Formats: sequence, C-alpha cells, structure tokens
Amino acid sequence: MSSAENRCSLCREPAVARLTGPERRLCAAHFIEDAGARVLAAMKHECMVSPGDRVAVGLSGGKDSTALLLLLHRFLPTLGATPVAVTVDEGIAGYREETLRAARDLTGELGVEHAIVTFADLFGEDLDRLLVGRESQGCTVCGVLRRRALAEAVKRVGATKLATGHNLDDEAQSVLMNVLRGDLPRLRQDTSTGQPGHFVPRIKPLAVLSEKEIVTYLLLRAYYRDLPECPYAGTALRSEVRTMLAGLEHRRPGTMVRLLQFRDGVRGSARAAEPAKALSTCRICGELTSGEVCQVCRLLGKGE
Amino acid sequence: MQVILPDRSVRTLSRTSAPIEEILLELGINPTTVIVVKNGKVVPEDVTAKKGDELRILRFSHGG
Repeated sequence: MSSAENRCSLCREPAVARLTGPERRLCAAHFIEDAGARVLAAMKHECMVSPGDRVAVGLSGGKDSTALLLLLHRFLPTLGATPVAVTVDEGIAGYREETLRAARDLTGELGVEHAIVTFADLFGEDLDRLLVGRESQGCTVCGVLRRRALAEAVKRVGATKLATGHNLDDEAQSVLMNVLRGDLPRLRQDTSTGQPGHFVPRIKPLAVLSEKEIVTYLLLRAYYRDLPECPYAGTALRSEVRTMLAGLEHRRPGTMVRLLQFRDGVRGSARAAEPAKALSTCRICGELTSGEVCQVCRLLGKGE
Repeated sequence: MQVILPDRSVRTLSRTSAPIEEILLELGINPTTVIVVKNGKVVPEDVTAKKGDELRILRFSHGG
C-alpha cells in the first residue's frame, strides 16, 4: 500500500495503525480515541469499578502501567471512582531506579496520590539480596513477593480495587503457560472477585489492548520511554511462550483473543461444575494460603 | 533506503520499493513485536517503503 492510500478510515489523515475486528486504519488522534474507548467499554462491560471506589493503580513506571494510569486518570472520575498510584520497589539495582523516577514524574504531572512500598521494608531485604544463589528463580520469587507487596500497599492506601497493567499479550501468555504446565487450578483462578479481608478485587483494564497497541499509544502521546529491561527477565517459560505466540499472532491474527475466550469458557464451565476450594490462613503470617504455610513465608525461609 | 534496527545499527537496503512487512521478515523480525517509524511517522507495516526512505524499527522492552 502506498503512503497516499494509507489513510484513516474516519478522517482521511495519514494512518498510524491498521486494526482488525472490525478492519480499520486510524490516524494518531483516532487511534488514541479508539484505544481509550475500548478500555472504557471493557471497564463498563465487566463492571470493573463502582461509584465510590478508590482504585489502587499498580504503577511500576514501565510502559503498561504508565498507559494504565494515563487512562484511569481520565476514566475513573467519569465512573465516580478515584485513582491512587501504588509502586513496589523490589530493589533491583540498575533497573528499578529509572522506572521509579518515571513513576514519580508521572504521578507528579497528573497530580495523583502515590504510595511506594519496598521489599526491604516489607521483607527485610531487597530482591537482589533475596535472590543470591537462586537468580534463575528470579521471576517466581519476585512474582510471589510482589503480589504480597501490592496487597500490602492496597491496605495502606485504603483502596477498594487494585488495577494492574496486564495487557492482552500477558494474559494470552499466561493462559498458554498454564495449559503447558497442566495447571488447571491456576487457569481457572479468577482474581476479579477478591477475598474479603485479604484481597480486594483485581481489575485488568488493559487486557483488551496488545502490547504493540500500548506502545503505539504511548509513542503517540509522547509518554514512551525506552527503559531498561529487568535483569531477571527472559529466563522463564514465559519468554519461550512470548516468542511462540508472537509468531502465531502474526500468521493467525486473533490467536491471543481466542486464547482469552478459551480461558473464560473454562472458567465458566468449571464454576458451574464444582464449588471453589476453601482456603485457610498461613500459621505464620495469617494471610490466605491453600496449605499450612503460605508461599511468601516459605520463600523467606520462615516455614522451616 | 536506510533501516535503523532496534540495536541502533543502520542497514542500507538496495531495494527500490517493498512493503515494510516484507522487509521486516527478511531481517528476521516479527512485525507484531515492533513498531515502525517511517520518515519520522508511525506507520502500519503494509505500507510500502521506497528508495530514500528512512525506517526506524522500535522493539519494545518487556515488563512494565
């Protein structure tokens, strides 16, 4: 297609993106509007927030959470809710300093309340120290501790919901990873309802946008920063699945959306078939767990 | 045409005209993992690049 033919389907300005479902080309202004409209529609359709909600927005300072805060800062007030940014500083030298600065800059610019919790404060040591001798488990250890840290941050700011920046790619990768691991319980796990007294409901407004669409959105709004990649990334199964899915998505557009539809179908049928398994509380920290001692306490060596 | 790769190295292609998607695939790059900026503007990959054009390929880092 020549540049002259590459025009926005709505206004005939030069198009920056070609989208499917429905097929359309959009200029910068209409792409920004379209991405926002899809996020808002998903929030309304899935009843993600209610009037009066105080929504903690997980803000790492990276691309996804930056887009999330920009969009929720705009949409939450229209739904009668307010945002408060929460950042977890894991303590990853050479990586977290820059993203933390980006997070502070953004909340300062938008005038959004911002709370920061650190691994050192919550768990006694930063991630770099906690991973000495087990660096290859970086993503697993960090994932478990980050979830706890976010839950703690949510309690501290008194939020009623937690919004995270998981995008379509992240969600589709998780579905395929759970299938490849044969992990049906995790495939079924739905965090959108929360656990009273322990976890507030988690919402993922960006799950309707691909990673590419999010970066395009940030580039067009001049918020894209080429930040460093986490030094612990790339060793996990997710890295292989990401490459595999990117290839499939290119050859068979819509693959990622179909994976999420499959997950939702599994959740729906599983919910009807059997009641959710009861959870108990950790004998050490009192948080919810499926066993006697929770994963956080086991990772910190408290359960031995 | 000149192609600025994600690692910021520059490749000069002798082709006079080709769809950007084709150029990316020849360079071993999956179009769903990058954004292409042609002469300073973000463009869809089915747009054709011609002699004299500059293509900058942005590969976004993961996480965030």
